[in-house]
Amino acid sequence: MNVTLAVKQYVSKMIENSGPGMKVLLMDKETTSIVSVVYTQSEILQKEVYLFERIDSQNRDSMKHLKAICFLRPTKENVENLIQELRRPKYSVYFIYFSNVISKSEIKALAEADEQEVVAEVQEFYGDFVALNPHLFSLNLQGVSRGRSWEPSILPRATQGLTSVLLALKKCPMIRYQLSSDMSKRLAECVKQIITKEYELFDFRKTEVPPLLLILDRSDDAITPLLNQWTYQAMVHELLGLNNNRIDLSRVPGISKDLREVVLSAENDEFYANNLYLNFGEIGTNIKNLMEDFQKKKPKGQQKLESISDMKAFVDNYPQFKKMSGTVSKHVTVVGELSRLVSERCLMEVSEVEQELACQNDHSNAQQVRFLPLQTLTVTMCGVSTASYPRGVDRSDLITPTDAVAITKQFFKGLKGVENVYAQHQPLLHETLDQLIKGKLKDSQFPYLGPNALRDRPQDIIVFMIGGATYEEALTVYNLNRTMPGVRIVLGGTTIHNTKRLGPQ
Amino acid sequence: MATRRLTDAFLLMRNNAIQNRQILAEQLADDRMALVSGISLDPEAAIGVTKRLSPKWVEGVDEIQYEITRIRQKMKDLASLHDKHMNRPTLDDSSEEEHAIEITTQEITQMFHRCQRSVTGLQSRCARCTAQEERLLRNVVSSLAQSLQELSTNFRHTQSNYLKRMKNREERSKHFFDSGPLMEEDEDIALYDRGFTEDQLVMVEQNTVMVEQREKEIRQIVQSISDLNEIFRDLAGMVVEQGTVLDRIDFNVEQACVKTEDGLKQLQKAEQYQKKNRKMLVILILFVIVVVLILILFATKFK
Repeated sequence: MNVTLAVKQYVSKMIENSGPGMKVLLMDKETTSIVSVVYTQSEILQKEVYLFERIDSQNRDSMKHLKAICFLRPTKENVENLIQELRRPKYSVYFIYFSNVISKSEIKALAEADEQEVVAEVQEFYGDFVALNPHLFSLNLQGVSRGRSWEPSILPRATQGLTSVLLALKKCPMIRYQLSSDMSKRLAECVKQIITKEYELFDFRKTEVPPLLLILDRSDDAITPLLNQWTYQAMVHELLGLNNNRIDLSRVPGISKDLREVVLSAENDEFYANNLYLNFGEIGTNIKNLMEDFQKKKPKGQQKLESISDMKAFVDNYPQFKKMSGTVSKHVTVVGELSRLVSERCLMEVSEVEQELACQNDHSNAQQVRFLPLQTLTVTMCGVSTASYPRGVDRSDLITPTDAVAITKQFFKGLKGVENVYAQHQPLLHETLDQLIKGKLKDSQFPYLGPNALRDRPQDIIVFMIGGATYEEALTVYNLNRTMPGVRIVLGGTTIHNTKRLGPQ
Repeated sequence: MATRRLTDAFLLMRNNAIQNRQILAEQLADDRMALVSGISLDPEAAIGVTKRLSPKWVEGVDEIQYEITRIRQKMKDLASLHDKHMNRPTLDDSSEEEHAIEITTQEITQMFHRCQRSVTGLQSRCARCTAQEERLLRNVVSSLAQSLQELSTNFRHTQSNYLKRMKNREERSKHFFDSGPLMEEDEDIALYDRGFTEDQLVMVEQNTVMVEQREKEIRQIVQSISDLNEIFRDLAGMVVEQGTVLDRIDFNVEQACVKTEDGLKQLQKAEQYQKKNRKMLVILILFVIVVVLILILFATKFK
């Protein structure tokens, strides 16, 4: 249940299949992101893949000494481009991999175009999603809904993405969806349809407890993406915007040219991997430690390489040092920018208010409307001190816990006291998953698709959030994975939200 | 990680398509036409074959890769030699092995030098190739440099480990030698009872020889390390730092696209300039002709 690893394996297998020799990797726009989040260029260069090209770029030179590995989504344009390519092959051999199920007729069209017999391999490798973290994937789809139903062009893509995740993880799941949302029902049906249609693909070794696919709708919990986040990854996304693990820092005042754009990937950045889920305060201390460590390792003046032992020490430490200096400057810049934004936008105060509002409401569906002003509040609060927040204006309206359980829960929470005022809010997903794992999730709210129902506690769970997941939920899933033995959860969404991206939805 | 192989289906369809084409061709024309058309197709295929010749530098890449595998092999040999040398129970008759170690170390250092030279040479090989080929070459160079760098780091580690172990052993043996000088001092005092036997003298001599040998070995290793130091610095410039945005595939692909677009724009601009220039030239020529004609006109009129 590791999506990053799954995609990585697909890519390595593609490269392995093509044998030794210099290779070029032909991709389309989406597969470029899919490959780049799991592999760095230097890693892939080591496997003799020396050139990366887009299939739709026009003026590619003919290089017959290269083998081409094509990793493409099975879209019409790609097939069209590929046909053109095969008519006039630019490389010696073609290994074609589609990221999803492709129709027979398109294969036939390709076969007819291959007059010079340059194609050596045609396969389906189901890596049709962007694996951001080992347990988090995204499809990078914006504007999925029209009113309360699917945007017609998006639904097939979402279905393809989700089925490819299932295939990549080798799961043939039972499906549960959220009853209150038409969209999740539609998606569930579409996925089921694909599973029945391609039954021989989904014929995996049966596990004792079948895996579970839970399809949820963002509209069920619209609060989570609105709140300010205080863990590293989520904060970066909220304030700077993470795009396939890249951040654009060009708007930061006084940025050096090397740091215009940086990559935050847990795969090859140890510091980030360790601090991904820690909160802002802890990161501050860790950054300090990192700096101190760095100062210690720093060679004292590059010129002082007189004796052999100096030289030796320098060479021994140099690669580490260089890597570290890159990491340090990157994270110091990022954290510096974060803290600048925090103080500029008074995010501490804003967040406190937000948390208060969000937690006391306890997620009653009927109260969702109340949270629309939250966003405006966030904006207007900027520069305004907390004192001006109209305390008690609609308080009585806001606090209307729906049932007795909620009231007692809140009561206990009040008794225990809050550990961290900025992180009291738990996304609804936590509760849902908790109930699901304990087998208490109500069938009336989250019915099964089809007649069968799961008797035991689920072990492998894939959660898909229509309308986008958030990094706060990713954190929740990460914590659940860690604390619950025997349960493995993967979270996915049509996109990964922050407040800005939620706006247009 | 499920996959599905469609190659067989594809090949079947391809064969069918080829057969269909042939049948169609036969139906369309008589034998001679078919033959002629076949011939007319041939030159193109021939061109295809000639194009297959890869640029010269590709051979260089193969050579370097071969060299790298050889370095790897040699390093393995060296490691086993080191082990043997260190774990040997007795301290005598070591010269042969030491010699072998020396030679292998030197060989490896030379190979590193050679590789490094050819990698740098490779960079300048691309005198008149297209932008894409340049990109390809740059990637190749950086990947080779990276693997070379890794190897050299490994090599350095084994060398310094060996050095450390040697030093340790020396210290241990010093322990043993410490009694040596002491005994010599004793010699002065105990001159008249002729305490030092012949055997002991021989042993002391042997020990000094051995210490000198160790010295030599250590000096050699240090030498090779400092040699590598240089290589390392050279290579560091060629390797793209891992984990930066420069190491992202999508970034590089985007950059390539941007560059191509830029190039296209520049080309269009240049074309425009050229066109404008041509127009100006025509206007100028016409103007000159008109002036000349007027002059001629005046000349003929007022004669």
